Formats: sequence, C-alpha cells, structure tokens
Amino acid sequence: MEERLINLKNEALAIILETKNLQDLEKLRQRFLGRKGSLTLFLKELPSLSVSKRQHIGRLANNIKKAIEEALEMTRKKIVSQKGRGLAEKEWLDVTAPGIKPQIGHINPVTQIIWELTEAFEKMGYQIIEGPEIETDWYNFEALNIPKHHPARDLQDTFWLTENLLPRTHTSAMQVKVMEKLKPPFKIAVPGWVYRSEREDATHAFYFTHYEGFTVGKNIAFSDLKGTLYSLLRYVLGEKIKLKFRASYFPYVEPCAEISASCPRCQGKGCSSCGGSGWLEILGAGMIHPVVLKNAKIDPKEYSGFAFCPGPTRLAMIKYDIPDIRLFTSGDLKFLNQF
Amino acid sequence: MLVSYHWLKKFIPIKANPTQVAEKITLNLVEVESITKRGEDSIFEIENKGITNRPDCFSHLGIARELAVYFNLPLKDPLIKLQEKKLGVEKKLPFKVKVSDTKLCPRYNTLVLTDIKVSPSPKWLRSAVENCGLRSINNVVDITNYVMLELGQPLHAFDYQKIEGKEIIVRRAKEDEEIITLDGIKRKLAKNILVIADAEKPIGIAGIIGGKNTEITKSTKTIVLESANFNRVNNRLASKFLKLRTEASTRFEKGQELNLTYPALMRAVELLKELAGAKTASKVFDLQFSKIQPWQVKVNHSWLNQFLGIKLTIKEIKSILEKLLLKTAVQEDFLFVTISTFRPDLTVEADIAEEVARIYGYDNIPITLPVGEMKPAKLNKEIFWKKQIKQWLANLGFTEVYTYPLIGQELIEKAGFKVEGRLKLLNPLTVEREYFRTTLIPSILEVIAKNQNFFKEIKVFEMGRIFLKRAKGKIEEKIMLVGALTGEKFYQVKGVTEALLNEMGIEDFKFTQVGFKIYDTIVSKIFKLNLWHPGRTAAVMLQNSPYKNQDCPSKNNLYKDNHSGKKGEKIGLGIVGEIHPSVLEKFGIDDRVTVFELDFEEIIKQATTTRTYTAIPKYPPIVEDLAFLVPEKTLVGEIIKEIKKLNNLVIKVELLDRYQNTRTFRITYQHPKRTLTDREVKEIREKIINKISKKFRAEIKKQQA
Repeated sequence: MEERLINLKNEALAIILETKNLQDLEKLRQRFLGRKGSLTLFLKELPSLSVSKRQHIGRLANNIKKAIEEALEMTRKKIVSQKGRGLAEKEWLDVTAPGIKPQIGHINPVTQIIWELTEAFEKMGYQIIEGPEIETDWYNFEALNIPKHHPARDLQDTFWLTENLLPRTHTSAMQVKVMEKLKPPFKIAVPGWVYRSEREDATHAFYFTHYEGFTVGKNIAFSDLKGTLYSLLRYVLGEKIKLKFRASYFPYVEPCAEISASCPRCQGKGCSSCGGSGWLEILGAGMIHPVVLKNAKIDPKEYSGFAFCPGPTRLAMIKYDIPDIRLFTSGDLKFLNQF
Repeated sequence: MLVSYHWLKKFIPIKANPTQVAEKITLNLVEVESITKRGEDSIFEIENKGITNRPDCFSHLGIARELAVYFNLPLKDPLIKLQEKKLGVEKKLPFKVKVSDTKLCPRYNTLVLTDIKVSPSPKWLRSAVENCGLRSINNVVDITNYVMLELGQPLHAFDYQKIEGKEIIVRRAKEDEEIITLDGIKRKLAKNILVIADAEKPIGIAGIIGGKNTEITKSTKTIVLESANFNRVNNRLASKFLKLRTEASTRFEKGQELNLTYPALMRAVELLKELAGAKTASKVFDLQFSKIQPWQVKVNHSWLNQFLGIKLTIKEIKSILEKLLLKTAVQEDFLFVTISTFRPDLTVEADIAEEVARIYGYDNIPITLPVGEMKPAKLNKEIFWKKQIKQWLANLGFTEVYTYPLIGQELIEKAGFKVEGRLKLLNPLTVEREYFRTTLIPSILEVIAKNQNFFKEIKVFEMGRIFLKRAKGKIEEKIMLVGALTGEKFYQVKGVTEALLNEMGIEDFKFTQVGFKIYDTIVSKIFKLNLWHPGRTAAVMLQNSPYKNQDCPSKNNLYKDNHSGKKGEKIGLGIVGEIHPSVLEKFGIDDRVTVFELDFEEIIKQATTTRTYTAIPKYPPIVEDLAFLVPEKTLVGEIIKEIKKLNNLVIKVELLDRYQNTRTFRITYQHPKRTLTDREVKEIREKIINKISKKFRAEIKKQQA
C-alpha cells in the first residue's frame, strides 16, 4: 500500500516537472488530484483499512498530496516565466511600419480659434451670446454713433438688403442690442460671421468672423482694456506676445486704439509672415462712446466700459501662418486636413 | 492723403527724419501707410479713413500742428495774419453774388481778379501739387489746389468772361438740369444737388467739381475766385449720387471749418498776385449765414485719471491740452477746456480723455484688469451643443467646412430650386453672391465636387445659417447642421444621425419615408423639391409632440406636412436621404451622396445632458434569433417597433440580417430581478411569432436557439 503511494508520488512528480504547457498541467492536476484522480481514488480506499494503518497511510497520502500540489505550482511558475523567452524572435513586429489610423475628421481652423477665444473669455467671466447675421441700420450703425450719410460709413463697405436691413458688417452690431437688456456690470462676448462688400483677394474676404467683447461697469478704465487684451491674445497666440497700442478712429469708441501684436513666429524680429516689420495689426478697441451707452439706456456718468473685436479669421491666419483668407471658406480638404 | 515732409517744415522747425516723423504720426494720429522719396523730399501716404473725424488734418498745416505737439516745437501759424488781411479794389468790374440756399452754403467768400496771366506753374509749385498726387494744370488752378493742400480749404476759380450776367447764384439744381464737368463728362443733376450758377446755367457743382463752361484757359484774363463752405451731408449725398469723389468733396464731407474760407481766399490772392500778376476787380464778398465760436468742455480731473487708469496731475493734463492749442482753465478739480474751432471732433469728456491719452502715449498707460462683482455661471445651450456636436462629428471622421451664405442663381437652379422668394442683396458684388441660401446642401455638393478627384471617400459637415423670407417682410435665420458622405451609405448616415441624437439625449424619434412634401410650406410652395432621391429619403420626426398642452410654436418647422400650430402637433428634426442622381449629375459628382440635415434649434430644444441611471442587470439575458419571410417593401422599422411593444421583458431587438425577403432579428430577453425560465421565453416568443405573422403577413422561417 505504502509502496503504491510512493510510486504514485514518484510518477506524478516526474511527469509534472517535465510538463511544458499550462493546459497539460491542468490535465495532470485532474489526473492526480481531480474528483476521479488517482490520489483521490486512493484515499477513498482508506476506510477499509485498520485504524492504525489508516492513520499512517492517511498522513503519508496528505504529504504526497502537498508534494504534488507544490510540484504543480512550481511547474506553473516555470512555464509562465519561460513563456516570455524567445517571444521577441517568435512574434517580432516592425514597429516603424505606419500605424492604422482611425479616420478622424478635422475642425475648421476658424472654429478652433473661436473655441480658444471662448475658453479665454469664459475664464475671464464673460457670458457668450450670439446674434442674428441680418441686422437693422440702427443696431449696425446709428446706435453705434455712425449716423446716416456720415463719412464714417465708408470705414465698412456694406451690402444692403433693403434701405434699413443689411447683413451685419461687424459683431459690434450686438453691443446696444445686448446692453439695452442688461444692467451693468456685465461682460459679454459675441462670436459670429460678418459681411463686407469687398472684392475678395488673399487678404480681403466678404464673409469672415469677429468675436466682439465688451464690458460695462463702475470705474472701468482704459488700462483695464489693455490688461484684458493682453490676457486674451496671449491665451491664443502665446505668452510671449507683446502688444502695441496706437491712436485710431472708430466712432463707437473714445478713446480709440488700433492694436498690433508682435509676430508670434519671429517674436518681433521680423520675418516673412509679418512682412519683416515684426508687428501684425490685430484688432480695434476702445472705451465705449458715451453716445453708445446712452443709446443702450446706460448712464455714461455712472458707468464706463470698453469694447474690442478680435477676428478669429485674422487670428487663425496669424497663428497658423495662412497666407490666403479664402482658404477658410474654400471647402478644400487638402487645406482642412492640415488642422 | 499725401503729405510732403518739406512742406511741413514751412510751419515747424522739425529735425526728426521722415521715418521718425512717420512713426510718430502712426502712433499718435493715423497710420502712415508708406514713405516715398521724391528728389529731396519725402512723401507720406496717410490713411484717410483714420482721420474721418479730423477735417483739420486734411492739410499740411493740420499735420504740422499735430507734429508740433509730438516733438514739442513752435508752430508758425499763417492763419492769424491771413484772417486780418484786407484788400482794396484796384480795377472795379461788375459782379453780383447771391446764395439762395443758405443752409447748404453757410458761408461764401469770393472776389474778382483781373489782369491774370495764365501760364504753366513755376517748378516749385508744379512739384508741390504733383508730389501730393494732383495734376499740374496752370498757375491759377495749381494755386487753388496748393492752398487746399496747405490749409485744407478747397477753392475754385471760374473764368469771369464766361459767366453770364456777371452774377453768381448758389442754388439747388433744377430738375433735369445738366452740366459738363471739368473731366469732360456730361452729368445729369438732381434737385438736392447744390450748384454754383450764373444767370442762366450751372457753372459748377458746389464742393465737388467745376464746370467745363467756365474753365480757366490760356486766354483767361479775369477770374472769379471762390472759397466757400458747404453742408457736409448734402455734399456727401451729391457725391454719392454722381458717383464722383474729388479732393474737394473728400474734405467737405468731413465738415470743413467755417472760419477757414476767408484766410484761404487771402492766401490764394497773395499767390495769384505774386505768380499771375492778379489785380483785385471787386470787393471781397463774405456772405456768412452761420457763425461758429469756440466752445467749452468741462472735465473732472479725477474722472479723467480714473477713466484712463493713469495718475497725472491737473497741471500735467492742462499742459498736454494747451500744447494741442486747447486753452484750459483750472478750477478745483475741474478743467475747463476751450475748443478751437478747427477741432469739431471734441465735444464730450471722453474726447478730451482721448487727446490726453494719445499725447501721453497709449503705451505709457498701465496694464490692469477690471475689478468687479462676480456673476452667476450661465450655460449657453447653443454654444455648448455646437462644440459638442462638431467635436463628435470630427471624431467620427467628418471634416468641418464653411461655405458662403450668399449664392448665385446658377447654383440655386443646379440644385433644383428657383430664385423667386429669396432674400436678395440690393448691391451684390457678383452674380455668384447675390442671394441668401435657404439650405446648405447645394454648397456642400459643390465642396464634394471640388474634392472628389483627390479623395476616395468624402465626409464633410457644416453648421451654418439659412435665411428664409417670412410673411410681412420678416426674416427668419435658422442654424442648420448638414453632413454628407459619398458612396451608397444611406444606413451609415442614418446610423450617424441616430447616434448623434442619442448622444444628445434624444431617443424619442422615428424615421418616416417621405415623398416630396418636405421643407416648410412657404419654401416648398415656391421651390419644388427635386433635390432628394424619391425612394431613399426619410424625415426625422419626434414620436410625440413636446407641445401636448400648448399650441405648437414651431409653426415654421421645416419637416412636417401640417402647419396648423395646434396642440400636440408633431415636430420634425431633420431629414436623411440620398441626393437625387440627376442633381448629382448636374454637379458633376460621380459617386452617390447621402446627406443628413438637422434643424439645430429644434434638436437643442430636445437635447439634454441628463441621464437616469438604471441598475445594471444582475441576471443573465437570453438571446435568440428569429427569421421571418416577409412580403416586398415590408418596413423593418415597424416590425422592430411591434416586437418591442409586445412585452417589456424584450429589452433589445436588432436586425441581424436581410437576405432577399428574409429578415432575421436578434431578440434579447431579460428580467431585472431574476433569471428567466425557458417556459417564460417560449411564451413571449410565440406571441411575437403570432403577432408578426398576422400583422405583416410574414412567415416564421426557422427557429434558432
């Protein structure tokens, strides 16, 4: 009896230690330790033995069970650790071959700039509002201190639908419309498409984007406008950008400024993107004219504010070095796939 | 406007070189667009539009006045002397002047000069006017132009001999009156145009251009010299009506100073005496119907500092303003600024603030951020969903395009529409950009046609506005979302649409086969829809009306047949379909194109980011496939709906396969609280087979476990 047990142990250990894969190992576990395994069957014979023999053989059988279990575990570890060996050769892949890309579409660069500006505006506490593209003469011009027959109308070549309706020439058309419904203080930003009756060429479009920002409150200062523009333009064009403010004329702001940014490509040294000057004209801005505030039923004695209008189209040209404004609306996938 | 560096030196002893001068002008006033060398001189090209509010700067004197401030230089102002100048009459000739519209001509200065010797101008005069972009004609005409360039006041000389009745009348033109102007063009006048006339006919258009009939020629001996002020609005209207802009009209429309006419006339007389031997032949007529006096603007010193964000003393501010020739008195914390009559742009405190800011230097103003109260965060649903949708579509392989809202008749007709009833520009630039679009699809088809030779498959989308003419002259702008995919891809595009709507939390919609009665009635009455493939187009409709208890506000919904606006009316969200092959052919597109179009405002009304968690089922589902043999054109969507309706233990029904007339469905049964028994499933299965066989005249093929 004892001998049979020892033989069983020796046989089991010999086969188990030789095993090379996990499936075979599992089969061996069944063969020796499973429900119908040989050691299990052996143990079933125990009750037929005398008490003293039963104890002795029982103990031996348990030791053998442990030994087999240890051998199984040892072999399993060996197989697992050996599995990695030689894998580099057997399953070699050329990792420099191109990946299989999922087809991902592209967001128009103008939209990307609009999103960046939206983020920047929202972080500064601006509320984003959109408005209609077809406007009245009042909101687009007269409310902004540009009377009919005023030469300032020549600043913006205008399409007309009727004597009174036009596709807006700027998102500033939303200034009075929004302000007359709100009580200061407020910070508003208006993204949108605008129209100009201009012949198209590489730098002129009749349909492009604006992103108007305006703030009205108590004690709002020109210096606040400067800080706001630094913050906004650095968010989009990079932290190294410098700004230059110079005098200009738009009837709806006073004082009025034209802002240039140092070229983000050459950091103001001068390169082909900025025509060698190191500077790029970027937007017009200023303190909201008291007439405009009055038109929005806001008392200019109590409140002041500033307005500014970056053009996402213009910023996209600068940020991505795009020489032709017509590309944004060309629908040319060879262009769009680059973004 | 062109400005000569040398000419400026007549008024200020400037040492800075032309580049430095140009830089200062750009920084403090208006952009100098270029500097051109002309012999010894340098010519600045100044951007006109930036000084629209500064009529005084349309002259060398005006620019010199500004530079004197920037460079801290004394100004030699010739106006003071000229203003006081008096002339006697040397050889009296008959002459009369009458202004009949004093509103349009508030001041008229004139006199007759004789013994004139008309000749080519001396070299200095010729190059002075030529360097500033004007043609040299003869000494008399050149002098009038020279004075305009110097002082800003346009002048005109008429040949006295050719003036009928030796009389000048400033009046409105008569109906159908005509004049041949100096440029040789015959122009028809209108009643609101102010003319300079003699006893019989117009001899010039006031403030714009002179008449050929009184032109100065070699044989001219006596002239009438005019230096007048004309109403700026009327001048601009006349110039627009005649489609004629001249150096004179450019200045008058900005509002030239009323006090400038007399000194300018004196300056011209001075030069005519010197260069053409002129002798006075009449008194100086000065018909003045309106007066201008300096006015005052009161500015609070603390307010000004606060408004600009600077800390200047009241003295420093006063000194800046006085350099600008604005007399300033100080009283406590207030500045009383007396505005010289040549600065019509300065009327309110903010104007004074700008003067201080630009002279102090914008770049010297500190950089701060506004301080103020916080506002509650507010979600703009449109902005939020626009970005979500765009990003989501891009992740699915669609590229975002923008096309023009303005399109032409050719494109409209190519897509099977007509131009009638559309919004149209009064002044289009080209015929391709004349009408506002009522759908994005034709432009998207153009994009596909343009790209088809370079890409095997094209997947694009656009979110943009359409413009619809509504009753009573109202205009409706709608934001539309259009996606297009090339190839025979109806089900893929439908799938994208379904997934997109699901992503937005919209589940309650169905696709219904449509014929041609889509788009809102107002549009479809006018435009017969030939755009869509008649057999492969579906409207996306909400299953249940969101307006059960109220009148349906979406009266103008684009995708429904009925437009009653009554309670419970169902709403369409969009359309999915193939483009009609004959339209594709017209666009030169070789492949099939499937398009989805969604009404952005309708979908975001239904959209939500809210989701309700349901417990993850613990008990295993039972999945089985059922195949039915169905009659031709049986709608699979209806079968699926029917199966789902039968028992709520059926949690999912998918179409596994369609082969000839066989439709195989994969059905998933699951009980939320326990494992389903075979008997329970069998019961439901039999119900399904029964119902589907009866309702759709279908036949169960075989049962697969």
